[in-house]
Amino acid sequence: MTTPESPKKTEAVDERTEIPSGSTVSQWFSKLKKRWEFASKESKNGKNWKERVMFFLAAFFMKVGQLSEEEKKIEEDAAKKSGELLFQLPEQEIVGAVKKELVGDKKLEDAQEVKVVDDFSTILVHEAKNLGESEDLKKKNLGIVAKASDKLSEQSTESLTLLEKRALIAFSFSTLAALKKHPDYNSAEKLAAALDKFESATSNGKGLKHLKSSSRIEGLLNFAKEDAFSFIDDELIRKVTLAPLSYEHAFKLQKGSAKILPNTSEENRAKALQVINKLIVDKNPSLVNRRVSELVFLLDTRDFEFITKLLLK
Amino acid sequence: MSSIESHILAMLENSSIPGLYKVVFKNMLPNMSRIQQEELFMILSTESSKKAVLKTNMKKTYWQYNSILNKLEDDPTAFDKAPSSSDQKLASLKSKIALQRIKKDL
Repeated sequence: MTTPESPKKTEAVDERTEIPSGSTVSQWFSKLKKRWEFASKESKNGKNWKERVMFFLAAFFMKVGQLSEEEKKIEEDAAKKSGELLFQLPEQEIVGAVKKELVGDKKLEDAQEVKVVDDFSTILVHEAKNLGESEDLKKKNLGIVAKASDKLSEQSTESLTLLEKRALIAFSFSTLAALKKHPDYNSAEKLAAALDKFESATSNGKGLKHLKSSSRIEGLLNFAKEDAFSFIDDELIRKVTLAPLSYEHAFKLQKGSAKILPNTSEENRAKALQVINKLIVDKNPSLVNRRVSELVFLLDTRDFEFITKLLLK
Repeated sequence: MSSIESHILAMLENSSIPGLYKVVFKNMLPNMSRIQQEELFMILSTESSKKAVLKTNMKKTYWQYNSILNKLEDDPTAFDKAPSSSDQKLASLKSKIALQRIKKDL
């Protein structure tokens, strides 16, 4: 009499024979990697093949690493060349395509919404195309921001790389500085109202609402707090507003923040820290646009540009 | 739609280039010059053929290390022994006999 196989065993046999799926190297090898890792753990628990496992495991991981590098090179090459071609196309056409993505299927009837979407799309494209001092750097950074935007849009399960995080923050800062200079958005009140309009106009597409709902934004904020400014040798700056500030902590931060905000007055830096603190601690979504606008106008525009340059170095 | 445009559209679907680029190219394809279209076609087809080679290497690596692991799981001593001298002698004897048979047949 034969006994039915246990589900666990069948599963294991399936894993050994199944054809891997996925289009990327990491997807393709994910299960096999886990099996090898499990084997290496098992070998430590008494199985007598530790040396062989470690030898093959190292060779396997090295090979997968090489394949990933190869894949990355192919993708970077395609992104670079297509980016160069994109730079040859009229900017207005690119703005049109971005607008479509932002608005989605919503039909805009409010003239104010149409204007804000037009202005914001134009500024977004212009800033994305001008991240860097040389032409090569601009093309490279546009590719990085575009790739990072894909990840933020949750088309990808991959996490953002350090380079992508820095480029995204730099892009956000340069966009905010450009909005601040625009005659129609040159006060905290006007900018906050415009951000509200932009959010409602793009509620069906990949606009502010979509961005705010992305869990990656949280990660990006943490990165900004912890790592983005790690090039500045000051422990305090890296810990900007992790929690509600004590008086002493706030005082120290206020002094330390002079390093990354050299052109903003001491008084405004103190106010800005309070706003950041509120933004992080009290996550009320209806107040985010107002607080961000407040922050933008507390900080000197030259400091936005200074930080952008530092991040893109 | 011209043939090159439909090829480009099909290749864009599978390309790894950023989503923003894809949207722009899709929208602007009919307004792009023939030279620009050909350039885009070349970029995408180069990427596609390089990815095909990569896929072959991925498959090769996968099955190679999958089969090693299967062997180890089935028999922990699978890769333990180097062939002993008696095994080698036996193998060499077998091949000599096989050679003699072939000669006889001829």
